Amino acid sequence: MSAILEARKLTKAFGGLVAVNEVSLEIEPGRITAIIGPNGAGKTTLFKMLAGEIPPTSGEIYFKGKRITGLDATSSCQLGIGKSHQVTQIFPSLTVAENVMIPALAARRGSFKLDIFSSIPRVDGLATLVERTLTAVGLMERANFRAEDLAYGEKRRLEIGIALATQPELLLLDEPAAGMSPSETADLVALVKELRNSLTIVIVEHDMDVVFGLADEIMVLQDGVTIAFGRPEDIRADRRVREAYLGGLESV
Amino acid sequence: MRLGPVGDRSGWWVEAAIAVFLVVFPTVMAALGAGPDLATRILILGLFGLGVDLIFGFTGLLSFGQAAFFGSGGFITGYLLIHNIVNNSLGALAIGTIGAAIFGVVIGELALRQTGVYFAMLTLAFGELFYFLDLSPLRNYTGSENGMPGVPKPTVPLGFTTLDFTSNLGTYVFVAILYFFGFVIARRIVRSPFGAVLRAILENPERAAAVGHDVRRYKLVVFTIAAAYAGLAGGLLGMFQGYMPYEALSIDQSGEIIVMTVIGGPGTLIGPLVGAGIWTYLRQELQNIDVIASIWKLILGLVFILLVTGFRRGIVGGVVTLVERRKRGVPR
Amino acid sequence: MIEAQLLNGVALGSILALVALGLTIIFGLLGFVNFAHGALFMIGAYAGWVVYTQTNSFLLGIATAIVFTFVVGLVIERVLIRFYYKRPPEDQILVTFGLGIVLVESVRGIFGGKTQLVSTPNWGAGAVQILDLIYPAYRLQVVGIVALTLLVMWLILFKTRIGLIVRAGIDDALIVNILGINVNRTFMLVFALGAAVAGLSGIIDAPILAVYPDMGTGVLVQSFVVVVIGGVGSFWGAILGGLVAGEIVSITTAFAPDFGQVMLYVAMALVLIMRPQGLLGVEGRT
Repeated sequence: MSAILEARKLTKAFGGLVAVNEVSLEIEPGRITAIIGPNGAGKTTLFKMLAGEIPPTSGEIYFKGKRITGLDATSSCQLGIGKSHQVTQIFPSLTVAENVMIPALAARRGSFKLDIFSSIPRVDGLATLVERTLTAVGLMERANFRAEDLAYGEKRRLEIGIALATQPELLLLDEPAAGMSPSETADLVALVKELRNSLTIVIVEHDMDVVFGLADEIMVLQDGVTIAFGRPEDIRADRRVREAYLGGLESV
Repeated sequence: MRLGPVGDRSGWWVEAAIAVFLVVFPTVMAALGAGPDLATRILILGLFGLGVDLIFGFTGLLSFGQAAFFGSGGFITGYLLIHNIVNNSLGALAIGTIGAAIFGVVIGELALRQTGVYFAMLTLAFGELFYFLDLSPLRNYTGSENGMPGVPKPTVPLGFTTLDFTSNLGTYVFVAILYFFGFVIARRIVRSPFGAVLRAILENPERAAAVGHDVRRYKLVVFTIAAAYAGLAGGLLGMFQGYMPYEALSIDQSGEIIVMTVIGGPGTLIGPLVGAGIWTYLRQELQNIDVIASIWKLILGLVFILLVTGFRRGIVGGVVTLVERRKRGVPR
Repeated sequence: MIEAQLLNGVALGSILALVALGLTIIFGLLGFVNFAHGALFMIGAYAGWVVYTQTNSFLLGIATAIVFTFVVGLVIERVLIRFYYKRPPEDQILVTFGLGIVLVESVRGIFGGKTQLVSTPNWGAGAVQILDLIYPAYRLQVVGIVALTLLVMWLILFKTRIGLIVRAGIDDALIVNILGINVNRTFMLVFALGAAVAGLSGIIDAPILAVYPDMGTGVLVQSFVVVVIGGVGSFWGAILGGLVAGEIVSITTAFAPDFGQVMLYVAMALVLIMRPQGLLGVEGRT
């Protein structure tokens, strides 16, 4: 089985600071991969490169065998890479349904269409996609609410919903459980488990319950470098990983 | 699930209401002591403002150079008519509008490489560029500070007959018809999938791009459309005044249309019309009253500041919000 | 003859540099776009002119312009501007644009729209001979005044504690606040300082431009041109940008008089497109 996403020696340097240092990875389709690591490890920067939000300083990225290094976020998304953000990025004055409709419009119409005289109900498959997405993230009842009026946990679900509505093959989730209550987190885990049947998922998380509950394989970053990669059991036992997380406390 | 235009629950009654309004407008103006001339001028600015609302109210692009397109369209149209290059008013308007749109593509392509402040400054610079081009190098064509006199009133030769719109009321009818078409088109655009993407760009341009929309291209297209609206309005201005003024290319003109749009209400399409109405009416009427004469602009400036600070929806937006709040049970 | 144009460019450029300095102080240090900059320029001109005609002392006029505009800047900042630091740039542009209208119309209401000629001060009368050029003395003196002002500004910003606080406060307002320094007051002073410089350039320019309510509009755009060319947030950028802009206008006018002003805007557009941070600006400070 060939990898759906492959990164080779990805590096990102900001002036003198090297945030990500020659990180390589291979994601098999249908798997759930978690990326963990202490703060400042470079996880979010790595994610941003994978989604095309920032260009790598060096290294290559391949998606379904095709080279996508340096491609911008719009093109990456159209190719099938979706991302939900650590900091919620919704369309505040629009309703929940409209929030999900915007990415759906890109999924159904491509990156640009001059349909200035057309109407929204005429967009093929739009309503179905919006409905399915809202149902998946449990926001159907809130469909007509203004996005900015939602509770925090609901906004996080909407954040994921927006990414889902782009109809990705690969979904990058950047700290989806951030700020969620235990019951919301449980709902999130259930959602991701359902999604794995149709997409490949990479998730950056701090919540270890979520990570060990979901991941098929775990990648550990520290100071921009991969220090471990493997199955959850192996990672749990890995000495370097334990040091990376606990070493900071002991040395204080 | 039934999906509709983004942020818009209104139906065909809006277009119908505008049509009715256009019919009674001159009468209303007469009752207020002004002739159809004032109504025509307001409509021309309202047409100009439709384009400004599309880029600013719906997409969030603050351009301080729209006068460049307003003036270009006006001078092109006027020149064609004065020198008998084109005999048909509609034909000349079409060419002027297309000319303005071409400028829109060129300037848009360059200016939209930046966002926010730099975009605004770029549009300002281009606006001034056109202004000074008109004043100096092109003065033989455009008359520089004297403007371009002699623009004929609208006539439309149809072969078997000629439609004559040369009277004051006739000119009003001509402008009103074009305004109506402009309004209907703008409504279609705003309620279309394209229009939904524009609103997404207004709300969160980075996310709109991240979910797969070619934001730059959407911006360029709507910018060009706005330029076309401006050019058409400029052409009509020349016909209406019988004269094309160089001030149509000035920063003041660019600034005024922004003020009208903000006061009237951005993102409502009729906001600019309301703003233009207030601005134009006050300027005309208050100039007769000695004490207030010089401060109508000052008062509008203060109103403008108040609206920008506390109430971004403007007059029409305020009315719409009040009406929506009345409807209970619908959270939006 | 080229020397005449180059000299003219320096004279023109020094005025532009001074005008732009006020704008870049506020824009670069506070990240705030001030579309009322031209109006403040105009206010300084009027304030200085009023005193000048009453007392026949141009120097007193200059002092009045500086102080008056400084105070106006303080008031504006406290009453309006400070609510806008966190708001999007479009809002900042809009509110200062509206403020500009209010200021201009207020002045028009008080003084009327008539253009007032301002006579050159006695010490600036006559012409000076440099090489084989006859050049108006006042214009050369303007270069000197500008140079002096820039020196004073530089000293304030780079050699005093206040200047250090200002520059630090821009970089990281939170830390400065935690250190117990009143950032709000610093912002207020910076804005007032930028306004004062605008007012100073107004009165300095008055003998050359004449005084009328709309005199600031053209200046506003020219200031943007200079700031863009020289680089946002750069003290030296304002100076370099001013000189470059002055030379562009001067030399173009010599060869193709019709295009003198036009070239300025072409240059601005080119810079914004190819090197948006300007000649001396820092990348990323958009």
